[in-house]
Amino acid sequence: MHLNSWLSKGLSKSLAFVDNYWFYPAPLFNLALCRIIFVGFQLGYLLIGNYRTEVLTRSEVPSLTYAPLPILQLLNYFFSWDAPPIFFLSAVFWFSIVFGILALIGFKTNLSLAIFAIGSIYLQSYLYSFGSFHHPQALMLVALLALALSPSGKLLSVDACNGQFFDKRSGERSNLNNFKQVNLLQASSPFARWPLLLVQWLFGLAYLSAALNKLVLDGPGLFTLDWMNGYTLQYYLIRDGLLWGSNLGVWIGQQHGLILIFSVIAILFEATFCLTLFFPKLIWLYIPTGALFHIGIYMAQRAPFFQYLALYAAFIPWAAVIKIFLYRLKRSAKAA
Amino acid sequence: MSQELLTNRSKILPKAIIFFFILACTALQTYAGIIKLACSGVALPYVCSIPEDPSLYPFLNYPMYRSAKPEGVTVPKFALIATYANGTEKQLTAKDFDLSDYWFNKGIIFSLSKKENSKVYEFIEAYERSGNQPFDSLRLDVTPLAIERQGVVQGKPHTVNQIFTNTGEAK
Repeated sequence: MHLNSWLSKGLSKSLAFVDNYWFYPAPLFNLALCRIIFVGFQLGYLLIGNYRTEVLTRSEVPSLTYAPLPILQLLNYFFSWDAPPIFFLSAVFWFSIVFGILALIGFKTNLSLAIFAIGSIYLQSYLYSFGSFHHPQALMLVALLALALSPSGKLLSVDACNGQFFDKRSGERSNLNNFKQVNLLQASSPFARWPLLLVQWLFGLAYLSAALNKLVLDGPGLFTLDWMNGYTLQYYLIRDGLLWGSNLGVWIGQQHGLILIFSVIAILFEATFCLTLFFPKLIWLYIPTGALFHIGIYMAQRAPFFQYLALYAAFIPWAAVIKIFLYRLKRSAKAA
Repeated sequence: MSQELLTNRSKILPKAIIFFFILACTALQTYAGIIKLACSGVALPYVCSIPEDPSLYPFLNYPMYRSAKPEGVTVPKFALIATYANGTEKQLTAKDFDLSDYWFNKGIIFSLSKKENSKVYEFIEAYERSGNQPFDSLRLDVTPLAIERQGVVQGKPHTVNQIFTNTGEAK
């Protein structure tokens, strides 16, 4: 009897914690703005450069063998082909673009986002089914999937306008005089917090993984600080600078003292980034540092983690920031 | 169960589904990026039988730039040199092969440095098919750059691999 009541209390507390943590009502504005930023970025990623050509010509690159990733096998489950034909890849690309644009403007947002996310995952996993892969896109793809399951189209979207201007039951346009203006910054939902929180958690786990990889020993023993000896980062900067043509990387890679400091900062940043999950105010230190970190990596090593800069939007409490900004603007206007 | 949760039963199912999605994502990322790493130092045979990245894509391990390097480590500076029938030499770049830097380095430079010549011949065939001036041989020169406390010390350049296009070397 005691055990039962103890278990039931424990379960109740756990569920209440889950509910309060993941489903605490949060501003829809933050979620909607992140939808625009994430989808806009991913659309740009697909359209700018030669992504489509890369997808369509990957099978023609010499010395590559096609070995479909499990996620691609799953997405190809209903098709009889081993490798998707070019026309299908092209169709997936253009479908992704069309539904991406619809997701961006927020028309049938959840459906558009779902198709856009799955299309993007399909194309990326196809590209990575030829024996080499990169890290920057992965978190963005999960973020898009999460947005597809969220009410991210409730604000800043065509869907939201339809909801405001049209009476769904009569199908008639409402009288604009009766139109009740939605306060963009006040509207909230219990489902607006979890997608952004999930992105934050995935960031914390990814950075922790990067730090542990550098600190955990391969053989016996647990940890080593050898990575922070300066020579390690110098090696990678000079190597990548030479390979990818970055004079900055080659130059900075020769400054031992400076690189020693950067090495310590890099490890500290990656290992402790997860603190932002427990102390949200730390984002004002970690997000600018992270942005500088990734911009610096790109300039010196040509490693393009631009997706991370876009995804950092998930950490910013946009509605609160705008409210404070508007309040200060009003106050200074009054004072003037 | 919290009062709010009980009074708002209509939201319990969507919340449960979403929580399952959250758990799946965080568990897969932890598994791919952290648990797998623990296997390298600790013997956990059952947990460690995880397929290699990117099997769980988009959930990945993040081992970029992971291995530590000691003082004196050398960075190879590569130069790809083509020799033409008239004896002239030219350093080739990614642009000459109409490749991105990534595929140029991965497909040609790294393959030559690992003596995987057959892979390089495929790129040479594509290069010649595109109407570029054919060359007689292609060699990879390396200049070692040693990273010392006092600075970067340049070593003597040497050839690590050379392949011929018209002598019938086994492909």
